[in-house]
Amino acid sequence: MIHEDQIFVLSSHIAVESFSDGALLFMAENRQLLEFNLTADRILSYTDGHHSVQEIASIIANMYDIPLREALQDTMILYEELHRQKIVFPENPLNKKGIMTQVERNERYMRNPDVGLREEDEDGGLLFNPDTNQVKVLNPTGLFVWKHCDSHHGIESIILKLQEAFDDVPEKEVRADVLSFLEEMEKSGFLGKVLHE
Amino acid sequence: MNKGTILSSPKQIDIAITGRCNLRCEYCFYADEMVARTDLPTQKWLNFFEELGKLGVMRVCLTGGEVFTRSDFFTLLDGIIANRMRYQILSNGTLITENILSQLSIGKRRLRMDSIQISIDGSCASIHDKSRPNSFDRAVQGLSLLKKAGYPVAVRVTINRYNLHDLENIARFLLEDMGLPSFSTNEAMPIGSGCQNAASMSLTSTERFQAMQTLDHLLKRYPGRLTAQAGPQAKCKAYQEMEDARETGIKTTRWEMGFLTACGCVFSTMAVYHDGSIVPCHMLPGVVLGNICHDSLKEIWHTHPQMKALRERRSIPMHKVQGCQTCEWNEYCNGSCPGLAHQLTGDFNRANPTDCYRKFLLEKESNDALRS
Repeated sequence: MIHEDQIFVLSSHIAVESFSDGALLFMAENRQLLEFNLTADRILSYTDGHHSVQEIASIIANMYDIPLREALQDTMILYEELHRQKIVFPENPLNKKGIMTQVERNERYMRNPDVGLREEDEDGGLLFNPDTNQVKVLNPTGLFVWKHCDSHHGIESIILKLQEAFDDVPEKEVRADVLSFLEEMEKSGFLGKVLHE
Repeated sequence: MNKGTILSSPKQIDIAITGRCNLRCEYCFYADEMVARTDLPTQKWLNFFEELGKLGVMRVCLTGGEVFTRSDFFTLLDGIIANRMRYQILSNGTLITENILSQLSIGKRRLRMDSIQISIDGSCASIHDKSRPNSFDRAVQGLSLLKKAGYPVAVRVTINRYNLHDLENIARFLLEDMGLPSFSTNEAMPIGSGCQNAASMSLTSTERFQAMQTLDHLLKRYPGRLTAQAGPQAKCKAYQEMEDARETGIKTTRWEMGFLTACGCVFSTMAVYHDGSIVPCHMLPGVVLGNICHDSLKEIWHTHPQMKALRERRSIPMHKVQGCQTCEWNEYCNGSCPGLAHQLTGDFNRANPTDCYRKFLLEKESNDALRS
């Protein structure tokens, strides 16, 4: 399911040749050629890992003087199809070197209630997901982040608290590290993202 | 002992949830005074599971008695699941019916199951029933139902004097006829009923050697499909490692040779009996550390002198262990199970006499001489 805050990048197996009335897209993996109209070509040109679906829809709406809602709907349908065909992928937050959008800054996570925690004194802790039999070892900072994934603290707030609690956390890397940790924990089912209200 | 080396709580608890059983097996460790103790009521167990959940205990092994004799078994199972744990069941298999299977499939009961182990001691009723009276057909029926429904079923064969000569048939029956991926073996121990029936059940050194040879032969026919943590197959491996170490001067890395290092249980598990008694392990029924109804498991785990003593056992060199000072193998031995050592000598800081390699060699030599 595509949502409007998502940011996409083109697959590295794709080559796009733009023309005055559209574009040809070559998929190296299956040696297939796809034809795109001009609007789709414009959308592809903004699929650069920086513009969100919403931002691109807004550009398209201005360009063709159509209502934003209509542009957004068309853009999301296109991305759904491009994603299905593995032409685009959602951007990994890490690729942005720790730069977060406002939405990401306020993103909140909550712990999977079925996951058990074993705290091992100063060594950190160990998470156990009894549904999947998966174990995750946490260092003290990982444990700190885990405990703050309570559906109330946003990412920015967790990072600030982490910096307050640990003197030896390098400011430069902390953001990327926290994002990477949260992404991995979400992917493996230990954490869930709180949906926007 | 450095506090840092002790986990915050046990990872696993072995729980005998009932002392009741529908069978009367010849070698059951749950005999005598054990059956006289009373089963705890449902709520006490549920409270205990809550305590385990808070401690982050990851899994429990449910045994008995026979677990399916408890009418509240599935209520207990749900208590375990609600407290974020997985579970394993040890059963005689005779009470497993279609109804039990459909109960096991409800909610997360199946998802959280590590395995369900059924005991099979013979390839046919006439052998199995000698040690586990009147149960072969029902046990095999239970096993078949579980396998057909795709449950993670395991089989344990306890080797004794009745089934020693049936091992090849048992392997064929379980691996070929039943189509199981593997099974594990053990040996009837001289504890509980096994102590009373030792003369008819317990293997002599010569018989144990025969069992080792048969199992070795079966492992060649069925590579990797017979496993063992104890009993002849495990002993054979340990004895071979001792021989190799003495010959090459290179000691195994599986344990620290020359010290009482055999058992690592006290670093990761504890056990509870059906009346709530907490023990370090079910093999140490005489070392009662407290009761789940009024003692904190965590406190016992960290501070009980007997737990500390069992952990410190690892630092005792074999050449200082009573009865082992002059043994030519003491540099390569690890003393084996402290539970059996305690049961048979009254002291867990002794070596387990039933696994003594020197004794094994001497008895085998003398029996061979008598025979020839």
